[in-house]
Amino acid sequence: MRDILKVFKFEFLTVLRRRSFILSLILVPLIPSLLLGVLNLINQDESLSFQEIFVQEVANPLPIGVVDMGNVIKEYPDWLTQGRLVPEVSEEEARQKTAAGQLQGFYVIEPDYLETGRMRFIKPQISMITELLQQDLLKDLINYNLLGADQERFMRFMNPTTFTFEYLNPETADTRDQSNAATYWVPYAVTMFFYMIILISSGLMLNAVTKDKENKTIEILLSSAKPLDLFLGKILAFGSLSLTQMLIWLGSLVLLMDVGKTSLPFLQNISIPINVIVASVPFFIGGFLLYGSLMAGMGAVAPNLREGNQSTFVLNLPLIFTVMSINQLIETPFSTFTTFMTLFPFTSPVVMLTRLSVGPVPAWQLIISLALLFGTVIIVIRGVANLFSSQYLLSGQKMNIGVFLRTVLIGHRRA
Amino acid sequence: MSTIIVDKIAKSFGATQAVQDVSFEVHPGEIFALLGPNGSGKTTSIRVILDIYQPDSGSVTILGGPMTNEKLNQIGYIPEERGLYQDVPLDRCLTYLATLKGLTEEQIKERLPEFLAKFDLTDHAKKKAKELSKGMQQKGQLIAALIHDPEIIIIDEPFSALDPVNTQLVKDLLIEQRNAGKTIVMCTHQMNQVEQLCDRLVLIDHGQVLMQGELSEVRDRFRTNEVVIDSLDPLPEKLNGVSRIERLNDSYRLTPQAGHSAHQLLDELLAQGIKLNSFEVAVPTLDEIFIQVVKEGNGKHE
Repeated sequence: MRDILKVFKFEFLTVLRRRSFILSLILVPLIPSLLLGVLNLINQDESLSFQEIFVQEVANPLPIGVVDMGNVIKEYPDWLTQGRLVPEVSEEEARQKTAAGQLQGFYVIEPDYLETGRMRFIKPQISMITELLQQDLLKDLINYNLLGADQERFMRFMNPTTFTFEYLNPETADTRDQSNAATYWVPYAVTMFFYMIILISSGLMLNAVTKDKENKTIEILLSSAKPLDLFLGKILAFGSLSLTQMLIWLGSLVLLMDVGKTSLPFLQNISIPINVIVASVPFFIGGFLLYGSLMAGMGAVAPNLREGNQSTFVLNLPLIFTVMSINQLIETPFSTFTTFMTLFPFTSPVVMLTRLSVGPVPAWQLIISLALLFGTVIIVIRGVANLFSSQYLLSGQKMNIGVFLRTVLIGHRRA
Repeated sequence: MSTIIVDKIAKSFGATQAVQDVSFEVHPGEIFALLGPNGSGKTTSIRVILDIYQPDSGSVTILGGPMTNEKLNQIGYIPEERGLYQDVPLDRCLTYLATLKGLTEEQIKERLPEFLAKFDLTDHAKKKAKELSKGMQQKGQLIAALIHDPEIIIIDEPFSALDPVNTQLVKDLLIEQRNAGKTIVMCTHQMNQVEQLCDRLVLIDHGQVLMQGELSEVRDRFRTNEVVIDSLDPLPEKLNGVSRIERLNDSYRLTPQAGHSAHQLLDELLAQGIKLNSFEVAVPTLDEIFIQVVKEGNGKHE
C-alpha cells in the first residue's frame, strides 16, 4: 500500500510538471476563450452581427439593380431587401449606372422567365462569395412576389412546418426541440468529447508502462516494489490527472458556451445538460479504469511503445464503433441497439453521456449501466494484474495479442 | 550464519528450464561471484533471490529467513539492463528510487547531496538523465543502489560497457563496501575482475551448478604440477623428469612426468647449469578454469 502511494506521487507530479500537459490543460480552453473575447470586443464596439460585419467589410456596399423584363417583381419590401436590390427601368440605364459606380451590377429577368427561369447577371468583376449571398436575396425576393407579395404567406413558405410530437409511451418520449439543429450538435459534441478524452487518457497508461521498459528502470522498480503496486499507483495517478483534465475542459466548455451566447447567436439554444456533467464523473472514471487498465496490460506485454500502439486498435474497437454509430444513437435513443450500447460496459462510458445529452434516461438503465461498468472494471483489473508479473514486464518478446487476451480473460500463473 | 542461502531452486519459463537444482551460500562481508556464460541462468538466479521471480521449487533464505518488504529494502540492486528515467531530473529520479527503498524525505535530503558530491554529480543533479553522459548515468545508478545503505549489494555485470576510469571506480566502491561489512554478490563472466575482487564463487551453466568454493580453493583444485620458467639460456630439447616443454612468449611451460615434483624439476634445471630469472609453479587462471569446467559441463549435456 505504501508503495502504491509512492508510485502515485511520483507519476502524478512527473506528469503535472510536464510542460506539454500544462499547456494542453490551459490552451484547450484558452484558445476558444480568446476567440470569444475578440468576438465580444467586436460586438461591443460596432454592435454589428456577423453577417453585417461580413457584408459591410467584405461585400461591396453598392446596391444591385434589377431589370424586370419578365414583369415578375411587383414590390421591393425594405424588410426583405434592406436596399440591396433596387429596380431599374432598362438594361441600358442599369449599364450606365454600373459603369458610373452607382451599382455593383444588375440582374436582368428575361421576358420568358416564368417558362424558363432564365436570368442574367451583369457585373464588372468576379466576387464569388458575395454573389452567392446576393443570389439568395434575389431568390427570396422572387419567391415573395410569386406568392402574391404576401408577407405572412412568404414567411410560412420559408418555414413551412412546426411539429409537435405526442408519444404513446411517455417514458420513451423524445422531448427534444426537433426544429432546432442545436439539439443534435450537443450529443455529437458530447460523444466526441468523451470518446477523445477516454482514448487519450487511457493511452497515457500504455505510455507510462512502456516508458519503464524503454528507460530500463523496470527491473530496479521490481526489486523494490510489487508489480501490482506499480500498476495501481500508475492507474491512480493517471486517473486523477485525466479526471482533473476532463473536469477543467468540460467546465471550460460549459462556461464558454454560456459566455459565448452574446457573441455567437447559434449558441443561444445550446447548453450541456447538468445531468451529463454529473454523470460524466462516474462514467469517465469507469471508462478510464476499463480502457486504462487494458492499455496498461498491453504495455506490460509489449516490449516497447511502438509495438504496444500497433495493437491498441483491437482494444479501442468498441469506442470506435460507438463513434461510427453516432447517428443511430442520437436518432433512435430508445431503440434496442442504443439501449444495448448504453448498458454494454465497453461502450457505456461514452454512450450513456450521449444518451443523457439527448434526453432523460430511465433510472434502471443508469443503475445497471454503472453496475456493469464497474463490475467489468474489477474483472479487467484482476485480469490485467496477471499481466503485471515480472515474467511479462521483463520479457523482451514480441507483442502477442493472443497472449494478452488469454491472460486477461483466463488468467495466468504469476512469475 | 550465511547472508543468503539458495537451496535447490528451479525455475522454468514455458519449456525452457532456466535454472535447476541450484544451491549456494553467500557469507556475510564477502564478495561472492556468480559466474557463468551468457544464458547460463545467472540473472534468473539473481531474480529469484530478489523475489522478482517465484521459484518453481526450492527456497531462498535472506538474512535468516524468507524475503520480506523490509529485507528488500536492505538490498541494493543494479541489474544488467539498467537505466534512469530519461525525462526526469537526476535528483528527482534518485529521490523516487530511494523512497521505494524505504527512505524518508528527510533522510534523502540528508544523504543525496553527500552521494552526489562523492560521485562528482552535484552540478548535474538538476539535469535530466538524457542530458548526462553514459558514465554519469552509471554513477547515478550506483547511487540508487547504495543510498539506502543496504546490507546486501547485488550487481549484475558490474563492469559491462564501463570505461577504465569507471571500472576502477566500481572496483574501489565494491572493496570499500566489503570493508564496511557489506555482503556483495556480483554476477559476471569477466574473470580477471573476479580474480581481483572475489572471495568465493559459484559457476553455473545450463541452469546447473558446475563448481563452487573459495577462490584459492578452486585454483588449488585445478592446479597442476606444471611450472613456468624465465631462463637466460635456451633449454635443451629434453630434460630429466619433464614430459613436455612448451615455448611461451618469453618463457617456458614445463610439464613434469608423473611422480616428479616442482622441487625435483628445479633441482634438475640447476644441475644442468641453466640460469633462471624466475621459476614459478603455474597456477591456472580463472579464465582457463572457467573454460575447462564449462567444456566438461557441455560434454555431459551432449
